[in-house]
Amino acid sequence: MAEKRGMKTKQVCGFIIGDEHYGIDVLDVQEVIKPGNITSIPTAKEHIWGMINLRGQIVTVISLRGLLHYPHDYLEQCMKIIIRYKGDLYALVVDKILDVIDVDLETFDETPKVLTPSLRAFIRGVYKQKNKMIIELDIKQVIENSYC
Amino acid sequence: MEMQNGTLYQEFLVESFENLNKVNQELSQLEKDPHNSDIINSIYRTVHTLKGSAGFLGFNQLQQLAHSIENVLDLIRNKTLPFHSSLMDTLLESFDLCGQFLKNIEKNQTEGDLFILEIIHQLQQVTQNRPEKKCETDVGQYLHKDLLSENISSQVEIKNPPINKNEVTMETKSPQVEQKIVEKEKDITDTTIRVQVKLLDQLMNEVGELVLNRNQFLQYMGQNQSTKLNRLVQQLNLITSELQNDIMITRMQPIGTVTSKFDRIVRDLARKQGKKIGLELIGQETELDKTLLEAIKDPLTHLIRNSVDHGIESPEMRKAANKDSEGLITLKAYHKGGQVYIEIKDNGQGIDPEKVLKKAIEKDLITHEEAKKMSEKEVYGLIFKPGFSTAEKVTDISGRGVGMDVVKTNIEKIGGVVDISSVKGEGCSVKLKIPLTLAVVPALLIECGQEYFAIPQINLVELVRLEAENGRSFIEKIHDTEFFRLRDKAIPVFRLHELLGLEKIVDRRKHFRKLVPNSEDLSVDQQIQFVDESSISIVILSAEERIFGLIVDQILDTEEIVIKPLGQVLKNLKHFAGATIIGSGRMALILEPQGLLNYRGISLWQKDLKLIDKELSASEEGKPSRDEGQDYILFALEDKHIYAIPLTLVGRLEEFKQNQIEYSVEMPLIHYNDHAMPLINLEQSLHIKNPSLLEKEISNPPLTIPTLVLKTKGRNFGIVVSKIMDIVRSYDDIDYKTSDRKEILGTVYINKKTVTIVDIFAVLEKQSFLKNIIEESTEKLVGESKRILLAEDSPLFQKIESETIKEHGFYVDIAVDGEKGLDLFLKNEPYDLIVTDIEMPNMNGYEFTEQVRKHPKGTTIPIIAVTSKVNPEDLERGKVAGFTAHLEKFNREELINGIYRHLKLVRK
Repeated sequence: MAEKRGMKTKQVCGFIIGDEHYGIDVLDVQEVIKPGNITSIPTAKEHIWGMINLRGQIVTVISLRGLLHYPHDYLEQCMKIIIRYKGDLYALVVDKILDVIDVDLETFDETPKVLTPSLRAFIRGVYKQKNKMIIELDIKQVIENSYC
Repeated sequence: MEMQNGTLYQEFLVESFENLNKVNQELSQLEKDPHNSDIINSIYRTVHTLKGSAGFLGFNQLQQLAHSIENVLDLIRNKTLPFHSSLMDTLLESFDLCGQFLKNIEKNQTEGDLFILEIIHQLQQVTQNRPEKKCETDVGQYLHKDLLSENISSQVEIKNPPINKNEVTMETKSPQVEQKIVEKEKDITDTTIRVQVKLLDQLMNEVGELVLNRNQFLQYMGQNQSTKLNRLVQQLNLITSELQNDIMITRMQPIGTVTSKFDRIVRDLARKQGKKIGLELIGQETELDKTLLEAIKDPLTHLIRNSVDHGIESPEMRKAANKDSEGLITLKAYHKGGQVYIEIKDNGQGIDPEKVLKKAIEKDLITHEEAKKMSEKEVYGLIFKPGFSTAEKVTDISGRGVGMDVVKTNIEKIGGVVDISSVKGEGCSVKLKIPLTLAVVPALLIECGQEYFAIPQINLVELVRLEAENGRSFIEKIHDTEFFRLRDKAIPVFRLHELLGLEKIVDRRKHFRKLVPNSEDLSVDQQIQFVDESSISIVILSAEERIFGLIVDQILDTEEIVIKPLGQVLKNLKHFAGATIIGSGRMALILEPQGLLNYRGISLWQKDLKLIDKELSASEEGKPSRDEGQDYILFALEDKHIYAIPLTLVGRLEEFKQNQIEYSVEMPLIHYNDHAMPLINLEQSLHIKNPSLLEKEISNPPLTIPTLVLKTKGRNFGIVVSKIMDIVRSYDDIDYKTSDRKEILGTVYINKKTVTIVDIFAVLEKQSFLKNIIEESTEKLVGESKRILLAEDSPLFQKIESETIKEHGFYVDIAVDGEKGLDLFLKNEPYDLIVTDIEMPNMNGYEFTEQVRKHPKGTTIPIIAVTSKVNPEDLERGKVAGFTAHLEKFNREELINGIYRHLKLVRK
């Protein structure tokens, strides 16, 4: 990813958790939905909030705040980003959803030092945008670390 | 033709038309590449299938034709008959004729009359003339290969004058063909398509969603008065139901698609073994869900193989047994009560229970003692145990590692049941009960911690609701494990709340509710939500023959649910079989009983707790009185004998690992609840020659050491046993005469077996290294100087009760009945308290108390009655007689608390 490709860009679905701006590849995202009823899954990992019924499909709800060790104070306008990974659907709970953002691939940095080690495991790297840093989440790591 | 066979014909037609198309293509390929044996083989197989299925459906002419073609192809395949172009013509013609038959069948459901004799004759000629042709080829050896084939083809033409006649046949046929061409659009291959099952699954899901949507509409309708909307919703309702039904049907296939292959299997196997066996297939049109069909294919095949291999005897043996030399296997499928039954029956030798038992003992599946008391049904059940195979020798037919246990697990996996019955010498019958479809499963909905859960009906044994008054006394507790007595059988019960840690979930839910103020459904649920404190609901479940109870908040209703798998990240949660969306649109997790047991490591019951029905049959045998029973915990020691101690003495059942054991000089210890707990070598204490598990060398992985934890003298002791077997209630009296040493109290007859009762107090006394501990702990006790009179007839309880009381430093005098008790009472200095049993010979507890109360010495003395039954009438009678308190016999803690309370002492 770090290789230079001129002004090539990539689209990410941007969202906010705490004070940070995050993004995931827009191609991984199926849709964004408002929070509805969540059915709990007892005995699952703490950050797995439960499941939702998305048009007949069972979607596992993963709280990114929980996974990324943010404090548990959620904003009221929190949203769920539905992603598909290896055939299953997951809903990532985020504080706030941003637009689709064009990030400049050239500004990608794989190992930003600003991040805490606990966070680093879940990210692919950061894109330094003009006014803000966008942290790209590694979907694979997010899911793999949610196995019970 | 019968209508019910409709689908079967459809299947046959679709398949055969497709096959004919394929064959035609392959034939033309073969013409270009006459030596390609792959193509020949493929054609051969296709024709064989056609022949088989035509014969199966009773299309004799078609079968005959296919048979003739098969013969020719066989020769070509074996290279005895070279393939050449005129042969090709004949074959093509024959296949055309086959097609004609199929079209007739499609149109009229009968083959119709076609001239097949000519073509069959022609085909026969080809085969019969083979030797002559052989000669020709001999002559033509000198010729070039290509020429050779030409030569033969001309030979065939010359030698087969009927070919001209055949042309005539073809002509007579042609009008029909033309006619058919006009109607071609009706050809079945044009009206059916093949669809991926996955697509159907998806459709099914989507329709399920539509159904939910409709349900929401219907619910909304209830609050709305608009007639027009009402009408529209009713329409939607109807259409949705139809759609759901139709989609369900698309997944159905006749069982014949699987069983039709058995004809061949049986024939081949029978021939190999020199047996004569007929196979009768009944109810082949019975339809089943496609996925279920796939799932039962292997188990059925195995059962059929089993019948051939183990069931049907050789013709000689059959004759000797006065039976028809040809055996018969019947496979019958039918619908009954929303389920599909499949019976595989043979008239062979049946199962020999003796043989089964012998084998089971050999394979260490059961012990001799167990074998003796097994019912016939239980014996047959052994066949399904892993590691069992009755085949004396492993043949290549069965005994290939796929045992009956696999059959059973596979059938159970799809929610089915396997039942086996047999009459020795007359045959054996295996009955499979399978749900119609996996897509919809009947399940019980329950509620716990404000969440819904579904339990598949197949795992349910029964539902129990206990009113609070009884509830408390019916749930008994040994520290952390609770038991419920269901018809005299102690069944472990678990609180789903605790099992799943639902408190945490409820907290999170509250938090989430704050977060999502618009989640209406939830708040509605909160309103209707009430936990009825006055009663307990227990769901009794079975998990692989273990029975246990689950205490839930509320039992709701049964509902047909659609099982949806949980995401990959949750697949390790084996206690959930998936999730489902219920009518209201809510979701519920589906509980998996076996997974639940494993989840919290609930492996207490090493031995399968016997199924309830067996329990019932046992209780019918008439027991003296249900009130005077005693619970025992049964365990085995290294000498493989069964021992028991009263359950009331046991605090907990634990399993330790060999490598956790530490030693202080000679004394084995284990770190338990932050204390070092001494472990007691029971084998040594009872002078059993076999060394205890404690003495075994540490193996890898370390052995698991089952331990009974007793609390006495204010300390925990671990009694090491070999295996914890069961908890049973016995009504039989202990036979004290059979005691041959101090450490053994006597024997009792439990489950038709003699069980030795260990005197655990005597064992403890003997542990020299424990003496210090015991003395040390008794020093600090309060009870000194208080004198208690105990009237109790059962030596066992004398022991338990007196030891319990002594433990606390009280002085105890024991009387064996009321009369002796009264003697002691009158003779001795006044006692501080009396503990009396109720049922006693000579003078019972009531009379004894009445006498005591009459005496001036006894007007104020506290009298505690201990009994195994406490019901309102007894309490009343006790009050009249003058009992101060009425306590449960089995509860040592309560007894001690009662003594302290009535002596107005404070327990340390």
